[in-house]
This record gives sequence, structure tokens and C-alpha cells, in this order.
Amino acid sequence: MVKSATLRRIVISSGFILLIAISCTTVNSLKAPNLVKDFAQTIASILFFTSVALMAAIHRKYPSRHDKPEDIGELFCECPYALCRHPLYFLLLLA
Amino acid sequence: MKTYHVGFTKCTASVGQHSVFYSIVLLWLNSVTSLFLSSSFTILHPAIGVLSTLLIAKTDYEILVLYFRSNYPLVYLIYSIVKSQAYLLLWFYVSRFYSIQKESKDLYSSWKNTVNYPKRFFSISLLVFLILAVIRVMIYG
Repeated sequence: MVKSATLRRIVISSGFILLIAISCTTVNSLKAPNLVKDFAQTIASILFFTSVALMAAIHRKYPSRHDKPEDIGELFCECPYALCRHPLYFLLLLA
Repeated sequence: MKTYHVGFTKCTASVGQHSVFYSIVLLWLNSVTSLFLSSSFTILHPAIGVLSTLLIAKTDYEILVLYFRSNYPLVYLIYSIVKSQAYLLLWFYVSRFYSIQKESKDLYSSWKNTVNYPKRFFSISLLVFLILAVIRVMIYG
């Protein structure tokens, strides 16, 4: 059986590779004007940076090995976990 | 038609066809996009981020070579050096952000620092690249 950490790595990395491939093949397929296109790109890059920074802040506080719930050893209820049940996945979707 | 090399992208902006304001905004948006994309790598690890920052500074190195080989205007060279310095300084800024996250003891301090730190980074980077875009359009005409 595939471990959850391995599955996460496969899903996340293949998801990003797929997104990059889609982005490269559909460059300006909406035929948006330059200014609109560049403005959308800037907003997307700021959103991507913010999501990655917040994801890194959460993930760096996990122990290096966290395949099972008992690997973490405590229940996080503060900051992002007070706002959202799965902040890491939420930010991943946002990115 | 003027061709501006901005970060990862080759942005074509014409001052003749469009207004000066339009060109400034276009350059500014392109610079900010390349900065935030390279900063996303720097957050993961500064070593990965420095590669993308060097890639951005590559065109400036080419201008440096052009300056020494031919009769390239000094003002363009100065502008290129200033732009490269801005990217490198902002790389240092994001690297500091990376080390703050690493040094944080618990999730609370890591999260608080992450939420507070980018506020300054956002305002500084947006302002720096707006000034650079204005200078660029003024120099290149």
C-alpha cells in the first residue's frame, strides 16, 4: 500500500507539472489585451507567492516525518487551524 | 517599437503607439510578476531562488558586455546595474524571511511572522519597481 506521504508527493508534484504544461500550451488563449493579461499574471504571481509562503510556514513546523497522525503528536488548534480545517490543502488549491 | 527585456519575459511595449503611462504600467507589472515568481522559489530555498534571480540579471550582464565591447550608452548600463541590485536586495530580503520561518519555535510564531513580514516586502517591491519602470521609460524614451 502506498503511504500517504508518498501519495501526497506524487499528487502535488504531478499536479504542478500538469499545471505548468497547461499554462505553457494555453498562453493567452483568451486573447486578452496586454494590460489585462499582465495584470492577471501579476495578481496570480502575488497569490502564488503568498500561498507558498504561508504553506512553508505551516509545513516547516511539522516533524520531518509525518506519515501517521501520531507522528505529529499534538493537535494544532491555533492560527491557520483556528480558521480552516485543512489550511495546507486550501493554500495548495489557491496556489 | 521598443523591446524591453523584463525578467523572465520579453515584453514589447511601444511608447509611440501607447501612452507613457501605459508603458510604465506594463513594465511595472512584468517586473513585479518576475520578482514574485522568483521569490516563491526563494521561500522554498534561497539557493533555488538565487538561480532564478541570476537568470533575471543575465540580460544585465549582457548589457555590461555590450558596454565594454561597443559604444553602449553609460546611462543604460547604470540603469541595468541598479535593476540587478534591486533584484538581489529583494532576494536577500526574502532569504531573511526564509530564515525567520526556520528559526521560529512553534507554529504560532512562524505564522505571525509570515503574516506580518510580507506587508513590508509587498510595499517595498511594488514601490521599487514602479520607480524603476518610470526611470526606464524616461531613459529609453
